[in-house]
Amino acid sequence: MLKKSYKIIENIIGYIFLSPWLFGLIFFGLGPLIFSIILCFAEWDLISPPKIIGLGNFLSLLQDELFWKSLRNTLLFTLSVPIATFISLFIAYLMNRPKGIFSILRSIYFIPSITPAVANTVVWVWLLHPQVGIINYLLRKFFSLQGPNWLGDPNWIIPSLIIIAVWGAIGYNIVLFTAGLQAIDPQIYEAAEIDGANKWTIFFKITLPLISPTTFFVLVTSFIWSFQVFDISYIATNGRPDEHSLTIVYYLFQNAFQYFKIGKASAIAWILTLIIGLVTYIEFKLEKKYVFYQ
Amino acid sequence: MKKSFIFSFFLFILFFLPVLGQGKLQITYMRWGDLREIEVERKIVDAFNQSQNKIIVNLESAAWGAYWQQLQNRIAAGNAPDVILMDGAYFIDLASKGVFKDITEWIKRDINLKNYYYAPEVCEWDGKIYAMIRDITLGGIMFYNKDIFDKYKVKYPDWSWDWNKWLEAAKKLTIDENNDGIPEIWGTYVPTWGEGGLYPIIWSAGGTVLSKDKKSCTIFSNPKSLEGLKFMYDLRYKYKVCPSESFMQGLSDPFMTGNFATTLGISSFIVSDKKLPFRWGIAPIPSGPAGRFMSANQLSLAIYSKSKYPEAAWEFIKFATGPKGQEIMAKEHQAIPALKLKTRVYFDDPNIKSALTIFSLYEKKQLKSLEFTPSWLEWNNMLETTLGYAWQGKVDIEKAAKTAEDRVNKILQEAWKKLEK
Repeated sequence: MLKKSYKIIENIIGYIFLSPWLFGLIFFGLGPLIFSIILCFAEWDLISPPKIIGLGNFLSLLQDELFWKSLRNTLLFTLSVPIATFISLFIAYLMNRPKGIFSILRSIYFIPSITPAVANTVVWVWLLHPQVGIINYLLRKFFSLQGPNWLGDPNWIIPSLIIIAVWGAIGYNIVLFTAGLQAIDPQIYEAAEIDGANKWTIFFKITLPLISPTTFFVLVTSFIWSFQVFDISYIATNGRPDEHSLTIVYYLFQNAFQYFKIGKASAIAWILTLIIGLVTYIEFKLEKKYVFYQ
Repeated sequence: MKKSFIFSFFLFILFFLPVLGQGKLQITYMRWGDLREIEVERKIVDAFNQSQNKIIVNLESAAWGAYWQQLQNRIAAGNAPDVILMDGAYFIDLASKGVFKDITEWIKRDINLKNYYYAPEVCEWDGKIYAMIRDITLGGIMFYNKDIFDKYKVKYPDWSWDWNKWLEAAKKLTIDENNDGIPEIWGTYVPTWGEGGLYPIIWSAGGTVLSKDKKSCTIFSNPKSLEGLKFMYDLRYKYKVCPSESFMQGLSDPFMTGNFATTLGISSFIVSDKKLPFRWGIAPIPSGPAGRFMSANQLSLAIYSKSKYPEAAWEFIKFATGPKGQEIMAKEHQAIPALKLKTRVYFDDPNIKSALTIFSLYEKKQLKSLEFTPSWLEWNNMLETTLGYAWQGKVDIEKAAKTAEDRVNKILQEAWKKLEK
């Protein structure tokens, strides 16, 4: 009897401790989430009462050129993920030595990650300027190449955004990969060397499989982030992206906060959620095949 | 002893300050703007607060984009500011939803609108007055760099300029000093956004942006509109006296760089141009095949319909649009006063004086408003984005204009349909 009431009290105390989080989750997470599902099927401008219109928002999105363009741009932009992952793994591998200089280098590579994306992008806008930018200057000086009009040419804008994003992302990824690499037991390397494995074999047969959980984590989170890209496009195009730099979250922002079509924006948000969910699901399917846990 | 005295003194102030303040009504006024504009606005608000002892106005501000988000969110939450600065881009959208208080009677009682440059587009909806006119911004005026004109011995732009003279001067003043194929000095620049250059050029060509009932777009179907667009296109790609849009990379006021002999722009650039390190002047837009047309964009002040103190808000609006408020605004060159009595004050500056004659075109209906409709911002964004292909030199202008017209029509159709419901 005593035991039972003690348990109840313990439970209550548990919930009290949980309550700030539960409160936050319900009112600031779950509540808006459910509300936005309802809004997908409604027309609402924040002022007049919402009006249910069924699948109208989704049907109009299907015919909306800009929606498809923004989707296409975003998908192209996600190419930044494999590129950033590859480069950061490469650099992390090169720097995976205990010497002091490498820890300094690692800090330097991490700087872009702690700088706000806005500041990064503003700097890049100047670096990439077709006439006065240093990148085109270097191309002209050392390779006598006329560099493209990076952010002005419709064909170059997404690649330019990818360059900016990769530069901003690798620092964080390097830290993750370094942690993964340092967790590998040196005895395994020694054993492999004794068995006569060369450097490449060691990398592909030992390092890569053993850091695959890290790689998996980096890929999953980076894909989610890259689908949600907004700030880079917003700054690089001075807040006025044309169809070549319009990303899906930007289009959502435009609809929600410039045109006040909250219903349409909610529909875009949920389509994006489904896409991210699908991609993550595929990644988890592949995990079973390619990821090894020690 | 001394310490405890100071302490109790502060305690006393802290305790009684709110009580003292309670005698006055507190209302909120929100506007958008850059630092300089807000600074001037604060002077107007301070002057009002000192002019009487019943009402205190608290000024809140945000940048242009954030302003509309905040406003919309606060309207949704039911606590929008009492006094709201309004622009034609959103006026119909908000007025048609009952956001503003109907002030028709108060205007009739307290204000003679004949004393004002009055634009019903940003004040009236459905036969009722919801806002009081405040100021005017001219668009499509020509800024010219006197240093460049003097150096290359070209005559300054004046009222005799037409498109041919403009082009001639621009050709002379597009200068590639180091022969690398990219001019260091450009003859001219015409903004591709409506207010700054696009609309004035279309109008001066004799064209129209929207049909008379504002329900469809006519930049392609009206051949004269197309003529204006072609002129803008030719400046860039045929005569090469104006940089392509991708060269500009979103520079909003290129005149400030000092690399342009002439640019078209809006009068709100004047505030920041005052400190430029070169000599400059203002001229009217060169006259086109159909004459000389520029834009006049007017702002107004409205009262939130759920405001607790609409009378207090009205007192402030009367002050801000009255002689005192308008004088402060004009002296600091924040915007051209809508009150006719004070308009001249704005132009009382050697650099700007010449713009007064430009302003006289207002009475002749040669300064037009920006064709406001519901969902204005949306179709306007679409128009600029779609024409953007041509300004970047990717598509020829006719094709871009056709696509733009179709797209704008779609948005307009939907917007009007929604409103009629």
